[in-house]
Amino acid sequence: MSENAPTAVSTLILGESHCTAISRAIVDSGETNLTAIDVRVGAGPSKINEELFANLNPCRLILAFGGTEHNILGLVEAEPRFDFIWPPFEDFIGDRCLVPASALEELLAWRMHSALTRALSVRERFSCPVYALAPPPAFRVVDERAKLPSAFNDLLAAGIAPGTVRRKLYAMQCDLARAAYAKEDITYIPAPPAAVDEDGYLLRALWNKDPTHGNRTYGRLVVDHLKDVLDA
Amino acid sequence: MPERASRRRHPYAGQPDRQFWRKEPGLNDMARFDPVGATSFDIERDDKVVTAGSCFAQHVARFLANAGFNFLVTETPHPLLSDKIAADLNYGLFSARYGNVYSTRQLRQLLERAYGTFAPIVGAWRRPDGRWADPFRPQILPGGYVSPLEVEHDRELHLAAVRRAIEEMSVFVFTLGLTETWTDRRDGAAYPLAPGVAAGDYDEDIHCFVNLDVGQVAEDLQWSLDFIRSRNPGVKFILTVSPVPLNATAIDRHVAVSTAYSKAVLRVAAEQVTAANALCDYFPSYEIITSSFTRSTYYADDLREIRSEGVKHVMSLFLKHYAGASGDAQPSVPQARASTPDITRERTRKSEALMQVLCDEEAIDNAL
Repeated sequence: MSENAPTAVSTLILGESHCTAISRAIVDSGETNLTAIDVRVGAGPSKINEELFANLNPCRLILAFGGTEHNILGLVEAEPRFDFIWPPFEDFIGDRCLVPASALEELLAWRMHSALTRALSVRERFSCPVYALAPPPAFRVVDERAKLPSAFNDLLAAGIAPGTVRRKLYAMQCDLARAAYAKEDITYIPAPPAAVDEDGYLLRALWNKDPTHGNRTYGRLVVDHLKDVLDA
Repeated sequence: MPERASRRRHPYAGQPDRQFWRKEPGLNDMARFDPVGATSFDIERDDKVVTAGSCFAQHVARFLANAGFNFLVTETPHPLLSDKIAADLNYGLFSARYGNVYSTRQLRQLLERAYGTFAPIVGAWRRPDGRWADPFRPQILPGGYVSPLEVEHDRELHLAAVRRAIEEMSVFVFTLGLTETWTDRRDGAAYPLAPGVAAGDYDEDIHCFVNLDVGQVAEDLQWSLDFIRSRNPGVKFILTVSPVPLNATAIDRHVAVSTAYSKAVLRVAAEQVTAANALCDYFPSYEIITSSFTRSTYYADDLREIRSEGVKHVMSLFLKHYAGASGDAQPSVPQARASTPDITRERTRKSEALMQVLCDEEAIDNAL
C-alpha cells in the first residue's frame, strides 16, 4: 500500500473492462474532474489491484464492475432457441421456447453475483456517496465491421440471438443490478439515453469490432451523461 | 324337499387369510402388512408411467424412476436452467408441471383445458408481490410470472406437454386427494387453492366453495378415464387415495371430521370407478398408512405428513405387485430431463470463457 497522503479526486470511476472506453474518453477530453481506473490492471481476471486506487480520496465513487453477464447467457443462440417476456418488452418470437423470466432472473443474478461482490468490496474502502454505472446496451445486429476472435467461430456458427432477446436480457441485468445496489444505498445510473436508437439498441457508431464493449465515443457520451446526472 | 347341501360350512369358510383380521401377519410384524390384492396388469420397464394427483402422488414418481421404470416427463426445462433451478420450478415433480391435482374436478378440467374444450374466464391471478400466478397451478413458479402474457405463453407449453403425456402414456397413476375445492361461479373453474391464499383476490360474489360428493367425484373421474381412453385406448389406470389429512377445512366443523368425510367419499368413488372399468386398479396406499396394522407410526410429528418409512412401505408393495420387485423401494431425485450431453450448457461455458477474453482484450483492442 502507498504511504503517501491521499490524493483528492472529484469523481472516481472504478471498474473493469467497461471502464476502458471511459478512461480513453477522459484522456481525449482532458477532463480533470473524472478519473477512471480498470482495477484489474496488474491483478488478472476477476481480481482487484487495490494499489491502483489506495491513495485516492474521491468526493464521489462510481462502480462499473461486470456487465457482460447478459451476453454470456444470451449472445449466442441456445439449443433450443429461447425467448422470454420482460415488461415493458412483451414481444415474443412465437416459434421459440419460453423460458420463465423469473428463472432467467435467478440464473442471471447468480452470474452477476461475483461482480457485485467485487464492487461492494471496493466500495467498503470509501465513505463518499457511491453510484453504479450500467454497462453498454445491447447492440442491434452483428455486421461485417464486427470482428470477434477466431475462438468464437464455433459459437458464432450457432448464430447470434436476435436483438429483441438480447435487449430484454440487458434490461433484466440492469433491473437486477439496480435492485441489488439499492439495497446497499448505491444509486444506479443507466446508460446514456443518447447512446441508444429508438428501439433501445446501442448506436452502431458507439462500438467497433467487439459488440460487447462501447468505444471511446461511447465513453465520451458516458462522461457527459455522468456529469449531467451527478450535477443535477 | 331337503335343502341342497352347501359345499362350504359358511361363506367365510376356506377364504384366503387376507380376508381375516386375525390372520394378517401385520398384527405381529407391521412390515409384513400387505393389503394389496390381485392386480389386473403388470407394469413393464418400458411402460411409460404418468402420475398426477395430490402431493402423495409425487412419491410414486420418485420411487418409480429409481426402480428403473419409465417415468414419463413431457415438460422439460430449457437446458440453460441448472438442475437446482429446474427443481425449484417443479420440473420433473410430475409428468408435466400441473402441480398438485387435488380433486377429480381439477383433473377433468385439466384435460378439458388441454384439449381446448374449456377456456376459463380468468387466466392469471395477481400475487401480493405484484407478479402473476397461473390460477390452476398457483405455486408452480416460485418467482412468479412477470405478466399475464407470460402466464399465457407458459400455459400453452404446459398444456401441450399434458397432451403429449396423455397420448404417450401406458399407465396413469392418479391419487385422489380432496373433495373440498373453490370454484368460479361464472364458469365453474375449479382451483387447487382458494383465491387469495397464494395469489388472486377472494370475492364472495365470484368464488364459491364446493365440497364434492361421491356422485360428483365418481362422475368427474369416470369422465376423465373415458376421455383419456378416447385419446389413448391402451392406457391402464391405478387409482389411489392420499392418506394425508386435510390441512384445513372450509366447513365450520373440526378438520378431522372433514378429513373423514373427504377420504370416505374419495375411497368410495375410487371403488366404484375401479369396479366399472377394465384394467383399472385401486391401490391401497391409503389403507397401508392409515390402517391400525401400521399403528399410526407412519405419520410424522405433525400427524399429517407421511414419514419416509411409510412411503417406502407403500412403494415397496407397489413395485412388488406391479413389477415383481422385491426389497425396499428407494426414492430418487426427480429427473426432469435425460442425462444427455447438453449443447447449450457447453455453449454457455465457452461463451463465458470467451467473454473473458473480450474483456481482457478490451484494454488493448478497442481503442479506435
